[in-house]
Amino acid sequence: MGELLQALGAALRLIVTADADVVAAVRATLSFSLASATFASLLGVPLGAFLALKPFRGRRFVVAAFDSLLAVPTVVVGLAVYAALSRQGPLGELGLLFTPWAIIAGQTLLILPIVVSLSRSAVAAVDPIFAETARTLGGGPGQTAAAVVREALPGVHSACGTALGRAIGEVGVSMMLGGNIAGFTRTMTTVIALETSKGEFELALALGIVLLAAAFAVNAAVRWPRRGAES
Amino acid sequence: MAPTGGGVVIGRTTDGAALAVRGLKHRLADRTVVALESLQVAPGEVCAVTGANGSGKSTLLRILALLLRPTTGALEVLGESAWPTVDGRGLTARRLRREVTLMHQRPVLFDRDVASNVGFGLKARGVERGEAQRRVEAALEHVGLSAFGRRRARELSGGEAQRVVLARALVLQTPILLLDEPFSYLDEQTRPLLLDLVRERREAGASVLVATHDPGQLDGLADREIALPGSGELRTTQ
Repeated sequence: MGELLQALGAALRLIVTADADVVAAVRATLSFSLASATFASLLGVPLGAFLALKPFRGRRFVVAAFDSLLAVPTVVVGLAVYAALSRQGPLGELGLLFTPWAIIAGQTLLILPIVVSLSRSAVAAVDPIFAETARTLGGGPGQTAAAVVREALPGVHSACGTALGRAIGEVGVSMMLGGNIAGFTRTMTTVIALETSKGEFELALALGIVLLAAAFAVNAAVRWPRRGAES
Repeated sequence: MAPTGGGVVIGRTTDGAALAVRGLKHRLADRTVVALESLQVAPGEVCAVTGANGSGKSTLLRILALLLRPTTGALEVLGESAWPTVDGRGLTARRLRREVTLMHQRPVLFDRDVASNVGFGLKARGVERGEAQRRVEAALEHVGLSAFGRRRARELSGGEAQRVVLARALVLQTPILLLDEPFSYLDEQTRPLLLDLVRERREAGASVLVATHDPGQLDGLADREIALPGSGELRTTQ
């Protein structure tokens, strides 16, 4: 217990003094996960809205497929992207493996189903009278869809925030595709895994605390607009 | 095609009606919701559509607003066939929809500011920004909400929301105006504004259909009554 408290004290010191390793891992984690959340949102929100608003043959299957992908393990995504980016893979010539771009691509694929499924649910939950109102006011299909998505913004915002939280906290994709290279692809979660395996708890604990704070911050950011919408 | 007082160009069917329905029937499951042998509404005519709850008034208005495709029958709007469509993809209906305004029974406002709500239809029609702003301000002034442009629509009272909906209908100046039970959510201060809107649109040559339980609420503005019996068959009285 005494050792743990000592490690906790050391961890807090690392945070307060803005230790270079802590700062580098935090910076890498936030930049990779923000980039992947942005890409996933740009792709996933329109796709989710399309699945909610446009009936077509096979829609139920596509929706079920995205819902199933919510539970896909990070290592499976890591493995699939690794296979694609490895030297023998179809995208091997790009030389992206063990670079930040590989992590961003993997995380984007990992969190895309979250954005799609939750955005679809949010848009589908909007009272159909809003779409009808937009249409009777002269809105075309695009304008009507945009009006409905705007009504679902708190839910869409929540979908993107949840995806960001998942990207910040994942370890499998970052480890397999980034290679845990110090100062380049080393993220908070990969540092925690590495340091814990070495029996060095200070840095791992410090980053664990920052990770927890980041999770709370993302959760608060997701909840804030929803409260505003309910008021 | 003939211009009207409101600056709107109104087309005519061969017999001069702005709206013409023939052999219209709409079924849901095994039930006929609306059945109309024939209906013609002339430009500048105000019709009260009456009937008990479930008689199909709202469904009829949704069909006339081109939001709902009837099971069978023909509908002409401003001289063009909306159903059945000649283009096969409903593009004519989509274009004609911009000539019709439907005001729903309860005020439906988007979660944005009042001015954006009122200007939604103008933006959809690609009206130039300055012109749209001028028309929105004029409409808001008309309903006594000049100072409400930047207010969030969801923060309005029921009466204020209904006035915003009126302004939104007013600003579009479409040749066909459909009002679904407009009196049910109106307060006493807003009722004269609604009657003003009906009067103004009639004077501009627009066709106005008002679904209502009580045609007396229209203060004699209705030129005729269209009574929908529960069975869904049409009887008209001149």
